[in-house]
Amino acid sequence: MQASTLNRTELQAIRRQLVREQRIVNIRRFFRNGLSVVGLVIVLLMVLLAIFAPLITKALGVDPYTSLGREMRLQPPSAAHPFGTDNVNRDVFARVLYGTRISMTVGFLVGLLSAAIGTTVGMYATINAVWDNILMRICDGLKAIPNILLAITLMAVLGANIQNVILSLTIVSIPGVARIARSQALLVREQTYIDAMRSAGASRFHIMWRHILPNILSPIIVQMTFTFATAIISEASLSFLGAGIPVPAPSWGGMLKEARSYIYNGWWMVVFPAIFTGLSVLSFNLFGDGLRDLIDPLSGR
Amino acid sequence: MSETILQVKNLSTSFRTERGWLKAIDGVSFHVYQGEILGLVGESGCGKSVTSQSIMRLYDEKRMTRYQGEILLNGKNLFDIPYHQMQHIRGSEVSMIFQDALSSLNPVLKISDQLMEPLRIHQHLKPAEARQRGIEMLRLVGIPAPEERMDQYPHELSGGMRQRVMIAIALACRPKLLIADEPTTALDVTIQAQIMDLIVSLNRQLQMGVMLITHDLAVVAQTCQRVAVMYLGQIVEEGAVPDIFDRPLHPYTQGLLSSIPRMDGDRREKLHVISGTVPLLHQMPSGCRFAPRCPYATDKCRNQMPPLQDVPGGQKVRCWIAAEKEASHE
Repeated sequence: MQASTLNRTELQAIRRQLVREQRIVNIRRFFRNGLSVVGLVIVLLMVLLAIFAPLITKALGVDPYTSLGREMRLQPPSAAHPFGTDNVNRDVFARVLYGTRISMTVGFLVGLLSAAIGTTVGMYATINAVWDNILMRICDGLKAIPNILLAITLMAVLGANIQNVILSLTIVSIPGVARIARSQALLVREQTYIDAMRSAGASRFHIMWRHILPNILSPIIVQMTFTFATAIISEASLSFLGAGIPVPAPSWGGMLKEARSYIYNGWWMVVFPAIFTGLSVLSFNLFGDGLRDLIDPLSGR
Repeated sequence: MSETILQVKNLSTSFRTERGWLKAIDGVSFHVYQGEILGLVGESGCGKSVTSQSIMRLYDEKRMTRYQGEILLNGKNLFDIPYHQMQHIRGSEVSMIFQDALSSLNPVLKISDQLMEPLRIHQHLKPAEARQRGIEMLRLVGIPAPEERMDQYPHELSGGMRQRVMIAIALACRPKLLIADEPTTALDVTIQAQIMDLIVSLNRQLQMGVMLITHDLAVVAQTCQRVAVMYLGQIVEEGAVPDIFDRPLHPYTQGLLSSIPRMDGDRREKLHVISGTVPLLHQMPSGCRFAPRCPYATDKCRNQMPPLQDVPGGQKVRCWIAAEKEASHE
């Protein structure tokens, strides 16, 4: 038998192979959970629909804003207008499709912004007791008011447009992320490697951003997918209540609001935006569950 | 001997607790010379780790901790430096390695990231230079194939390897003093010996002072030149290793040494035990702290705290009886 002195390139090749295998195992673990795969597929589909909405509607020769003429008022679904037409003679399919854009934009931006700000707030709260009290009491205060009520108040103050919807939903979502970030950062802060890095001369902020942040990122990413789903439903609620995105814009909540009056003579006006809203929220939640199981396989079993 | 690197004078560290301020260490004084290894021994909870972390000023000073005394590093009192400036001292002039080798490395960062960090913080090296130095450091601490190790994560290394990496990180900026807080506790026996050998050889090679905290007297006997024995937040005896092992003066040191099982001992005899238990920090005896457990204690011992006195022969002891006896020998 030959002496087993592998040279460096051989060792590196073996290592790379192992890393690749682990990655495949992780991906397989995610895909073994059928529901989270369904979630992922629908999420991707929604994103694609949102991106290509103008192309699709153009191909079908419909538009979310223009009236198709008086004779096209409240037409049931047909080949030309798969989701029917609404009370002001517009194509519901085009409007639902454009609604996807609004929902996805709001969801993505609220998810990202609240994760970024919430994480920062949560980490700074662990610096010392004074910061902790100030930041966390503000978060408690925000949490004390029901989310939708707070969002409506903010919208009333700021004025109704999509930027303000994103802003107010972000403010509403920050405390949840901040709590998670804080509790995780408190756990990580007590680890020996943080002391070790302090004794190697790293400053507090360096430790926070470079050593604590990467360790608390995974639960925050999971929380982000849930924030995402909540933001979509909150935006729909706000628009339904008339405090969200102003009317001509095709948001799902706004469409449902209009459809409410025509529920007996135009069911399609209610059903299709409702299905899309429900489906997108459900799929983000399923996807989030799958991600959480991937990161922490022991939870929730 | 050569110059003094660290001189601790009358250091006391108190922590705020629900029962008021508790003095975890009380009037600790010792020094470390360049190129020597000083052993700091004592049982669990006697303040060894508090001493070392106080030197690094790692405790939260705003609300929970109070220091008294002086810590002179190269003649400069560390307590005169503003707290936020300590980060320039840590890692460049004093470094520390911790007992828990398995969790002293950040699990989500590569070895290279953590090893290059002190170099980039203190010496402002460019990434390529820092990487080169990092590889040299890994080679110095005896890690084979350092180029590959640089790109691995801590979980890919064994416990002994991880402690070697920690030593490499601690020594990257060539500090003048290394504090090793029970560096081998989490490792198994054969690896322990390797790590101790490594620390001794690096101590010779780099001519730095090492403060070795341990409760293992055998390790002290093999590696240290001098030893300080701590009991309940105070140093009770200090001196050169051969002196203390041959002629322990303080009853506590005598007790510790006779508690070591010996190969040539009488197997039927029970192992020596120091009677009594360590008193709680908030129920400290008013006289000598060892008096309640000491077989020779007198009324003077119970009422008056003995000072750490020099005795002829270069030892120092905190005991009325031993100091008197030694003085009368003269």
